[in-house]
Amino acid sequence: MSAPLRRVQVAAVVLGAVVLAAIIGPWLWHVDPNAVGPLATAAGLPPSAAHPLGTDENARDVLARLLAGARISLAFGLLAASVAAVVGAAVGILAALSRPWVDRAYMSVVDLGLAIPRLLVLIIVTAGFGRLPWGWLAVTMGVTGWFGLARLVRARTRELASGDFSVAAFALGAPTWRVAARHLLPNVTGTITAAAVLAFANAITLEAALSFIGQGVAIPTASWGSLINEGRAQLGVTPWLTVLPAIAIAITVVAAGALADGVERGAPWRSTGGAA
Amino acid sequence: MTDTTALLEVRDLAVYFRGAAGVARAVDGVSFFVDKGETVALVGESGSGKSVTALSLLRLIDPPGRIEPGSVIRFEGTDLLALDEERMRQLRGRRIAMVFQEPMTALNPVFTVGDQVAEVARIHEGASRADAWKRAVQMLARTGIADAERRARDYPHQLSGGMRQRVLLAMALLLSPALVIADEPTTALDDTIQAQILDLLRTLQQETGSAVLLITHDFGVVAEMAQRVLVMYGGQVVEAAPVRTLFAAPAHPYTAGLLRAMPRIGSRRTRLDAIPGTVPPATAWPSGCRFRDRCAHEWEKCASEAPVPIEVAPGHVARCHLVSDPARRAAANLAGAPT
Amino acid sequence: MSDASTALVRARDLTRHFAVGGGLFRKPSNPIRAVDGVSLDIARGETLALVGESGSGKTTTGRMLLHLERPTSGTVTFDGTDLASLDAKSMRALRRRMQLVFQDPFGSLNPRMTIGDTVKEGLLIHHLAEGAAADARTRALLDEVGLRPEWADRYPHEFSGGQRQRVGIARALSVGPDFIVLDEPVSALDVSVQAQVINLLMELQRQRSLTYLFIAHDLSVVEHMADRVAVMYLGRIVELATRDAIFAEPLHPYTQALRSAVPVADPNVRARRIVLAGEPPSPANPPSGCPFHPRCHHPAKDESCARLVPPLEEKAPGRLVACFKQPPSSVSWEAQQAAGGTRAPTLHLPVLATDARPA
Repeated sequence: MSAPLRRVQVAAVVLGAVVLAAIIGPWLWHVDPNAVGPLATAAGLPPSAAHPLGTDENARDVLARLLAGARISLAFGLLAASVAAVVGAAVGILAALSRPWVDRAYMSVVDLGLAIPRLLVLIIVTAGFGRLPWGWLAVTMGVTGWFGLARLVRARTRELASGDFSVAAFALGAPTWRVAARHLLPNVTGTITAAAVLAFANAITLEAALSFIGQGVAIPTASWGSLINEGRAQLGVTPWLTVLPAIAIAITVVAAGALADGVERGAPWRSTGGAA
Repeated sequence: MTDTTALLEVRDLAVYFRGAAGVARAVDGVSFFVDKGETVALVGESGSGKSVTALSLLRLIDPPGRIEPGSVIRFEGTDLLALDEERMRQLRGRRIAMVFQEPMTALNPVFTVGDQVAEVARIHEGASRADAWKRAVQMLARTGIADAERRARDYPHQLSGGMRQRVLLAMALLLSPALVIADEPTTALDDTIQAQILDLLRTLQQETGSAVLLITHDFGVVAEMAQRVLVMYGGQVVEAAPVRTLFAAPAHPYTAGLLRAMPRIGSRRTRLDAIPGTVPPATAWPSGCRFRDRCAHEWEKCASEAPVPIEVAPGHVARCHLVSDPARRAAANLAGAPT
Repeated sequence: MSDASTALVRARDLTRHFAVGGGLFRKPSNPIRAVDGVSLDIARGETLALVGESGSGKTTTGRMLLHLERPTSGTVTFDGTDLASLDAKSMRALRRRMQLVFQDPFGSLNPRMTIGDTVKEGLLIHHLAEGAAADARTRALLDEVGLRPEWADRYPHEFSGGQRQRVGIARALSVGPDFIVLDEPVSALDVSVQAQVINLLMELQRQRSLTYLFIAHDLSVVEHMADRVAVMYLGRIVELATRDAIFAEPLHPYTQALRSAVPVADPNVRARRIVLAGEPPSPANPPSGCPFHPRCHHPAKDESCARLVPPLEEKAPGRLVACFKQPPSSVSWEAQQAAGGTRAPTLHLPVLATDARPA
């Protein structure tokens, strides 16, 4: 009983630490991530007191770039996940409460969205528009990433809407909007949050994948994906340039997955009592 | 009662669950016996500990639950709590079988029911595939399934609830176990189907000579099936008696209260005599007598001193201070049937 | 049937079909006839019990009476108003007068709402009270159903099954209904708590002059609560009579079997049991003729039972029974013979009384 709870707590702490590092890190480690040092003497240095994580081939401080990248990557994931959650939840709830033919129409769109490879769409979009500012790239990622979430939300909403307490509300004479707002939405937020946390992790990995093929966040802005991309040419010489951002991504994604799992089950939050 | 004659003897059984909310003493000092071939009903409401008692007989308690040291479960002369897991596994299904309340979840949806019955013979007796299948079909026919040869090839979802319960009985009784533990076997069924299944259980029991520990909350089922009755409340057996004694002269206020709370056909009243309050959680039993805050006959002694089982008459035991206080007992005027 | 002028709820030929199947490789099969031509009247202030086994269509019937499910065909009239004639807004307004209590004490309350908010919701929807007045009414309602008013701020998970069931009853009472459908309200409760809730429901009925449709499968509870009883089998009413008549002398062979199947809580009594052959058939594939004929024990059962659908007809004043083998019947013996009948109708009254077991 307490083992899953422990896992969720660890995940929350880890994710919290990553977020905290992104927020206050650049403020504590006061080094310009884009400042180019003397190339002859300071490029590709291994970790040292002056540069705890070394420097890259442009003699920029890796720690500073990693922290700056964290800001961009996390903000990127958050924006993409928010867009996906809002669009997906709206479509899912609307579909669940609509007449059967409207529901089928919504779900056909969802099926279509799920059928098209997302990475391909993103590559085409970025290729077509050139390098997008990272914010717009994140929105694009959200717009192409809500389909699965909508399906989950619809299924859960339908289940709740035919459940006894919703029927009781209809029997009291509650209009549909009231049932949706008071009875369905509060009980479907767990599902939405869990799916959104996964979408967040997904967006970070997808951004890394896009960066890897040179279509991600535009340089010189540092994101974890672009750091990997910059470092890979020197993989044999300065492996930490690639490995460190990769580890950061891995930690964030795994922690987010564990957290989503916990949120979905709801147990740790529910057992703490009424305030949920 | 002596250790040597009883088929099953349980002494001071305690099963605790340790969790965030504290220690739940789900079963707390339960002692009883079951003789060869007899039917004993274990009656109680939800939270009384009757299902946990049943599962602990098969040692099927999962963490955080634990059978506490000092508990004794003796079956056919063997101390079950001292057996290694392999010996225990050999016993389950062969000497002690279990029938569950919800036949849909007790059956595996991806195998045919014939395969599942045959599996019992294959596991425990190493029967060949063909032989086990033949025995499975015969057993299914004995449980009253028409066209058993064909039905054996069906999957659980193709059968009705009553049919699935017949399949479970076939699995349980295939190897003529000495003891069948039936946990609310008819609760999920409609009345007309319940009647069929109870008849079937009685018939099969006569054929195999098995003893049955029947767990139920329904006194109608008790009256019909059992020779002896154990009433559980708060993780303890509060009363044990032969069935007619229990209905005619219950000695524990809880038993008497349950018997009066039931509506019965043919004896209408304007009000039912309900027992006030609800069962407290197993983490917070009251001090002294666990029933006292719902009892109409409570006095100081009930809070200060936990009652122990006292013999009311031979074979009739109750865990209540009234038993040793004849004056109060007479005043309490416990009666089974409503007047 | 009761006098039309006193009937609060009146149903005529209610039918509800569900479409099933129809996958990629399968044709849609026959619709499930969950309810198949149910007519009944519920008089003001009475308790009509609707009895039947799982799948008999009792829950669907109850929900159609409240128009929570739309009938496939047939009409429901509430206090003289045909529910089908109402627009959505008027229907919602009428819901004040008809309420529902559920079987499952866990699923019927929103886990994210305090029990006070749950009970208050109806007051707010119908603008019966606002603000502090609504809170006061909520506390009074909790008190009326035997809960402490100060528990209003607690969430459902803090309560036992019986207490949650009281919350559900308070929610139904909040809007001041005339009619409540009680859908197995005590089936999920333990014996000791069940008695408390039954007493509460009967008291509320007396004090508030409520009309109940009491859906149940436990006949001993039905005998305790009901004024009249309707027995359903496979989507149809097969017998409808006063409580005393149905318990003293059930006429339909199915009612007789159901009555005899109730275990008697007395070890000195052995019930004479009518053991039915086989299992209830599926409503997707109901038998022809009388739906009960494959399991029937009536001595005059014959070929005609598989061919003719027995009408629900009056056998004695106020006693409706759907069996043409129990005389008198509007289906004449000649008509039965024409349908292959070989055994003349004869009154079948199996002894359901019980014997003392030899000591």
